[in-house]
Amino acid sequence: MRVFSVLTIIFALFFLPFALELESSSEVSTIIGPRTWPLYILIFILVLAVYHLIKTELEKKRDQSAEDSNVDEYGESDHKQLGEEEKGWFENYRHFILLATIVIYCILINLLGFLPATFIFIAVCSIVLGLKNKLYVLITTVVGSFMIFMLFDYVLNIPLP
Amino acid sequence: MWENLSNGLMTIIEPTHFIILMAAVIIGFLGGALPGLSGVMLVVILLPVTYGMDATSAFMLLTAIYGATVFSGLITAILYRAPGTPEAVTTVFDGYPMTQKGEAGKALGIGISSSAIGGMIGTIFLILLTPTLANFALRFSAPEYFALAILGLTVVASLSRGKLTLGLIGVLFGLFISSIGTDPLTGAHRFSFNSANFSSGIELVPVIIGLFAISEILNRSSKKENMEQKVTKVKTKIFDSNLMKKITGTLARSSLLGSIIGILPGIGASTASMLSYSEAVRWSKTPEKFGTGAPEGIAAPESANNAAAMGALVPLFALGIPGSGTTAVILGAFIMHGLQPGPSLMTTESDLVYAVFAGLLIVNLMILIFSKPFIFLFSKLLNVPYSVIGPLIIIFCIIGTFAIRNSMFDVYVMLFFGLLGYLLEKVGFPLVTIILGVVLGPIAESEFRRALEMSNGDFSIFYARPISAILLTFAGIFIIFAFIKPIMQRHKKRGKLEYQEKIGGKP
Repeated sequence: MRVFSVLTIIFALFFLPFALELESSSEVSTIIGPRTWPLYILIFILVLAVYHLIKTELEKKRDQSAEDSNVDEYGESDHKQLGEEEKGWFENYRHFILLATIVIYCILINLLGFLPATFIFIAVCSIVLGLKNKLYVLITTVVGSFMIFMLFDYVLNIPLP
Repeated sequence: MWENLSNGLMTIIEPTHFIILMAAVIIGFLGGALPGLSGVMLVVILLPVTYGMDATSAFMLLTAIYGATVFSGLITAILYRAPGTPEAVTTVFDGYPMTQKGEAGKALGIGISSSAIGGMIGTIFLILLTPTLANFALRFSAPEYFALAILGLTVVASLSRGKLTLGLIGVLFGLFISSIGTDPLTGAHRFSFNSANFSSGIELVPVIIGLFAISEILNRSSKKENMEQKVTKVKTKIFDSNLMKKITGTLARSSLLGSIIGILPGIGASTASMLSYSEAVRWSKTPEKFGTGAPEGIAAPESANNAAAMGALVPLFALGIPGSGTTAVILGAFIMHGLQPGPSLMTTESDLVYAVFAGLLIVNLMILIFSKPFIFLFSKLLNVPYSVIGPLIIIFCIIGTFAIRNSMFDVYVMLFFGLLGYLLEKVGFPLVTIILGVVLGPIAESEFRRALEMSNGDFSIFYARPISAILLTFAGIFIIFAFIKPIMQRHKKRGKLEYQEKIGGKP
């Protein structure tokens, strides 16, 4: 939660100078210039994020003082964390691997063209998502690519990447 | 109006449209059956499919799917205690106990018929109220639209699920995203970093697809595979005249309540089903039977959530304000097809709107007819592993994003929002609020500035005009109430704790 608040504050601070660079109301012919709206939004985000940070910090302090009196519970939660780490790194980071796969797919579309890239993508993606049987991977890949190609290209005439 | 409606019915009878409606109902059913597909996601995935269609077919398809998914959540809720859609959570209370008693077929029958009846009553409300509201709203000009957008933004209070600060940050973040690109009034480039991609702004659809579909896939992939569900053989009996007599009162009350709640922007079908359940308990002569498998306990939430889902389309069509995640996506679809929902849509595209209305009526009838064979098929579909559906969903998302304006940039924007949505979901951030900001941001800003142009910079224009004054007052009340509510609750809680300490009980 603290990370979230800090990142939000950084986000707002990053864009603030850009907002200040925009033309103010007095510089343009319209009564409210292009600067006003985004500027106020960023200021509000900043205020709320700081408020949120302070609130969560205060709550954490209160929780901690309550937790100190109960050492047993603390130890137990520590133990649980260790157990989770034992899970394979692949399982833990599967979502990031998946995202990386998608990004690579998008790049491949430009390099290889849509159909071959899709073919590779479906195969890799279904394995990443945990499909083990090789025959199923093959069936999914072939049927999936074929279906998507037919549906968008022939039936609906939608431009493919 | 009746003439329009009969025209709409004629449009539907055309074979292609009829087939689309049928397909929509079946796809909507699938949404409830396939693991990891929610109503929002289903509409998002099918967006690209509608690009190639004419507007009437496209919106018949999308709204019919929307109607059918709200219904389909009840099947898993009753059979496996796992509501397929958030709207069906309340249905579990009495639906699952009935399954345990071996009355799953009866429970499904009640759920299906209540859904269809609730949906139809909701649609009738939709047909009757939308033109009236739109007519009224035709007289609106800039200050009223601004007030309306602000009122729409206050919905954040109910969408942020008790995390008001986060919800407000979400809305503001959404407003900020919508301000990226070319300023509509002066043509100035904002936050474009001299890139042509940024200067044309961030499209709504990549944001929605990223936040809802991609983040959900990432979320599911990080979890262990879903549990195996054993499929029980169920014989569904849809109409039971004795039972129907017993629940008629509940049905009528809940459908009415659901429709009204649905129309109020941002409260949504989940709240409607919850409220109507508690109302059903209040009105019942035997309240102690609720939670153990009372038929009324299924009839109330199911009729209310379907009625509310239809009612939620009233502000969408009449005012252009989305009340929920799915309606926000449908709004995005309208904009993509070059149509702006709002008061003028009813006059310029009345054929389309009435065809959609008539379609929804038919869809609710179809639910009654199709549900029985579908529940049989359902058992087979639950076994399709996510690793087969996942890649296909991702490709649909990518094509859907790309096809809006043939831009790979949009695809990367979508992926960025997917990651963002995944991370934000982890800290319990209410994602819908961001969409709310993105959708209403442009309206709020440009109407605000246009209104001030009208009045030469005099702010009194917002409260000197009666309608905008009333709307803004309501918005003010909502905001104040949202801030007071948690304080009041804390007060209550503290009072309770003190009381419990006094009597020596455990808190």
